[in-house]
Amino acid sequence: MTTPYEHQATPWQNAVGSKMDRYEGLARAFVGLADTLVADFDVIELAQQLVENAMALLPIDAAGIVLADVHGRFQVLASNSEQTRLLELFQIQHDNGPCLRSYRTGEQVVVEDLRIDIDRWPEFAARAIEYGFLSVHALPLRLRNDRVGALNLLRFDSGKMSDTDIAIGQALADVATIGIVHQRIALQSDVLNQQLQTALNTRTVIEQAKGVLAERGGVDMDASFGMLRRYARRNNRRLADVARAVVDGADTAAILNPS
Amino acid sequence: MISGDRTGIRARFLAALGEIPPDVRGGEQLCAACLATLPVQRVGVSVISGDDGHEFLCASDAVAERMEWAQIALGEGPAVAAFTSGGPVSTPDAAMPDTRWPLLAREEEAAEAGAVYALPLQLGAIRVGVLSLYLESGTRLDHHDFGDAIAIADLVTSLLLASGTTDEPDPLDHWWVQPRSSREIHQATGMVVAQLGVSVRDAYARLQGYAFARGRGLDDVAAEVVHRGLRIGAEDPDDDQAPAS
Repeated sequence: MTTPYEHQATPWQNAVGSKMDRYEGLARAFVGLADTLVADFDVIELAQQLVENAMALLPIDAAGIVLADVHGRFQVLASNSEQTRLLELFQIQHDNGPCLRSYRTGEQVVVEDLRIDIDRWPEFAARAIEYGFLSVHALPLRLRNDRVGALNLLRFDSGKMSDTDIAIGQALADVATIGIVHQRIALQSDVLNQQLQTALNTRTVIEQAKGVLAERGGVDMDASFGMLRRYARRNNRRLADVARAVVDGADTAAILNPS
Repeated sequence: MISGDRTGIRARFLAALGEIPPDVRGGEQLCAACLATLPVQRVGVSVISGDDGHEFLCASDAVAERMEWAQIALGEGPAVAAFTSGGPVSTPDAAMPDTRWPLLAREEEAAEAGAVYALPLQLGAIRVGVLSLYLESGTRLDHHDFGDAIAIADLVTSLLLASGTTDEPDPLDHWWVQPRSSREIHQATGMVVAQLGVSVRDAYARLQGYAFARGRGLDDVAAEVVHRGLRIGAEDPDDDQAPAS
């Protein structure tokens, strides 16, 4: 028996009472995202913000953005938690799962109750249920004819989200896609593929940097990721650049012990 | 969409390389294997040495070789851009007048080089070099071939990273089973950087050497490091190469 996926109370549960709060939250999210879509922006930070916005705005309990690499494996670009078990849940879907289906078809895939649909994707459903998730919304990351991955939204409850919620989720997924393919220069498919490779490698640099910080600070991977992000934000630097500097031997005292 | 099953292309590349005995394998053979498996006209590889200096490793013909040397000398070109940006860079024609690389465009070999795809050979912050693929001017790799090229670049990266880290008679066998995508491998690499105060490339080599010497999977060793059950020794590297009997 495994313990269920650990989670914190999702913010929407407190804020859902007021429609105005929701609209304000939504407006703030998109203004914040527009702000990150400047010339030399940070694709991982953007993806991370989208995941956090999804967590705050939608009735969900876990979220992750996955990209398909050249081997057809899913790589997690951003997720609400760095817990290995959650990441695996996103990644095992390259064999079979709602995410794969959404990626392949370019369409939204809703699984209202994994217990009913268990035969459709046995491995994924079994694992998801084990961690306490009962329903999944997989929204495609697509731009015109190009498909790059999917936004995975997991819920402890069964059932379908409202059409408004799904539309908000899809809008967040669309912003992620535009960010990943670098705004509008990506009409040429070469550029899209090249951006995907860059994003995936940046994620690897961040993992290496997390290892450095986890070891120096004696903290877990979630905590070291948080330190890295906060430092990058405080100093207005790209996450990718800070991560690379950490791996290449920069002094990490200011990251580990912010004053 | 460039995803697909890359088992076939990897097998063909390794087969092309496997026909060459391990003791004479070098840059030339890497280039030959790339040329044999990808739909390109010529291939060149430059590697990083010491303090980010580019060094010529190999080329499949004289034009590709001159392109490598010209880019090293001028400090510009698709390979330089791929290295700097950490992502693939392509141009339909290296000699285009409005090119991002005006000096290179004026070189004689640029006119002969045609279309270029420069793919970084890297694993996160570990920069190994750049693989340059040349096609007829104005032509492109389609999605499938681009994916194949990325898969080959990953393999070449693994081969270059492994050279010198193992005494295995033929380390080629390992690339079937060594996953390169596991987050824990990259996290463990970072932890070894901090533990031993070595470069990220050396840290990866230590992990890989440790795993190879014990016939274990790299992901398996990495997971143990991340969960703090294992510290790769700070002692002489030879010590932790010894198999645990």
